[in-house]
Amino acid sequence: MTKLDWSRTKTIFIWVFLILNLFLYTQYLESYKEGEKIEVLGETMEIEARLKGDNITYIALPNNKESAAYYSGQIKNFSPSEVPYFTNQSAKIENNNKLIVTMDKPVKLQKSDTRDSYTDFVHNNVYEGDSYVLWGIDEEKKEATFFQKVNDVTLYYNVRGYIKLYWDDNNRIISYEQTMLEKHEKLDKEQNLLTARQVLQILYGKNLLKPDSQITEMNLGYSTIVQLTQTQVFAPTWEVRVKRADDTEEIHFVNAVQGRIVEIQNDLSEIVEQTEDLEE
Amino acid sequence: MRFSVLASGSTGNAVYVENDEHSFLIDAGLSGKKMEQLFANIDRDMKSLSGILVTHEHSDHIKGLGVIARKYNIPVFANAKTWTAMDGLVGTIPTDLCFDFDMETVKTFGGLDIQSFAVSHDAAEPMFYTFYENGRKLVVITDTGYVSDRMKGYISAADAYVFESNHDVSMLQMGKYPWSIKRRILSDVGHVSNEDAAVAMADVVAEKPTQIYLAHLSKDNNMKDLARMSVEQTLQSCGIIAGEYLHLHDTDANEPTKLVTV
Repeated sequence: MTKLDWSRTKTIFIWVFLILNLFLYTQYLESYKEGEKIEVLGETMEIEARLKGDNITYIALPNNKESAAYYSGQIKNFSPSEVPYFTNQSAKIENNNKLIVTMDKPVKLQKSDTRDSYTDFVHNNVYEGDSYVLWGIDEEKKEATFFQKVNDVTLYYNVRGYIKLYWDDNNRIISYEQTMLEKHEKLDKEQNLLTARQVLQILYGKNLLKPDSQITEMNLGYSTIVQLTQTQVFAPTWEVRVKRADDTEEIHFVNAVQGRIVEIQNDLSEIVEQTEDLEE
Repeated sequence: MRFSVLASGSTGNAVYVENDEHSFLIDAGLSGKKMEQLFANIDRDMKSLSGILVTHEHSDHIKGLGVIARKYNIPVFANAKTWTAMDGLVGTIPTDLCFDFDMETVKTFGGLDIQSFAVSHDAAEPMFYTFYENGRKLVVITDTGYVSDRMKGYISAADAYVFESNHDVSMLQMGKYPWSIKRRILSDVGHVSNEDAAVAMADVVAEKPTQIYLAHLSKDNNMKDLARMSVEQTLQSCGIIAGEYLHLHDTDANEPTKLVTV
């Protein structure tokens, strides 16, 4: 009878188990990768299929920045020595932080495209006008609303960062009001942002995208998340414009970091009134 | 007396306090390895610790406790209810290293007096500590839903504070946490917000040089800059200008603050 060579047996066992472990590990890796593929495909298919099923169409989704920071800004208090900034204007200051300016002589708009002409007017005649962006025009009320920009994108519906232009029947600018947030500062480190597709999934999941509607625009901006006594904090926010089946438009705002729906009161005049009531 | 906030936040908490004779760790809420690294960052060695003072049994305060106590043979101090609540969470700590530190009592180690006081938090019997040496006072207070008058009595007129400034209420309300968690954080046994912390600070600080370290900031519902701005502005509305005699400092979840003398 031959004697068992334990040393050799041990070596064989080590090799066998090493090879077995390598084999099992590659199997595990493969199944993990497969699983990941299925999950991603599943998610993609799911939202696309669901939107298609409800006849919801959408524009080519924007490739947004992967990260952005929260920002802060301070409410600007206008001082009498600072106004008026431009000729042909008489200004008064309300509650220290709002300029109400009347044009001494109404200004006739130059361009036929009113959007451009309002923007030109603001850029050329309003203090730091180029830090505001046109948000909406109300032909009936004869007013155009501009929102201030933060980190070069729109800060939505902040009562301390807007301009409202007013014109007369002859399409001449007669007055405007302005509030401003200054000393914009980046807060903390950059945060990972949700993609446009993830935002659509959130909106769809919350039943905010109705059948037969059309997503016409998706933009990244900022919304106000914290209001301290002198300072406000702004969070990266997705703006999603949706045209409904009855041709009306609705705009949804989604916090681009946390994915929560941002409830923005979108009647600026109402917010202004409420804020002023509180200040009184 | 010198101290450093080694780490602060929901991922783990530890504060180091020393005088010429003794050194203590308040909580060991990070892994043993991470704690060793934090000690190395302030050029100290855990071997020389005189004790670990436990505030309560939540994992962000005791994660590395058992490992460190066993490895370096360090005495651990906690109240009886906390010892019971820690049972099974920190492994076995040899009985000769287990000591009681009752609520609202004082222990003296050489020239250093350490006083415990109760806070309002959802743990068995949570308490924090005040350190006194040569007329100087350091207070460590986090993990409390509010700051009661009784607590204010213990913590008033210190030269330095490690003070909780956990969350911004709007961020918390807007944030992704489930409602039950939000309710817990906002409750009397949760955590103090930036503004509530500032109001409490305004009540307890004396008009003398005071260093305040804003601690236990929520990762999701607060930011260092925001906490500082919010505390500054609330203090200002209470008539205290930060930067005059009261100075605010940040703490970090991963980096220790400089070892400073109180």
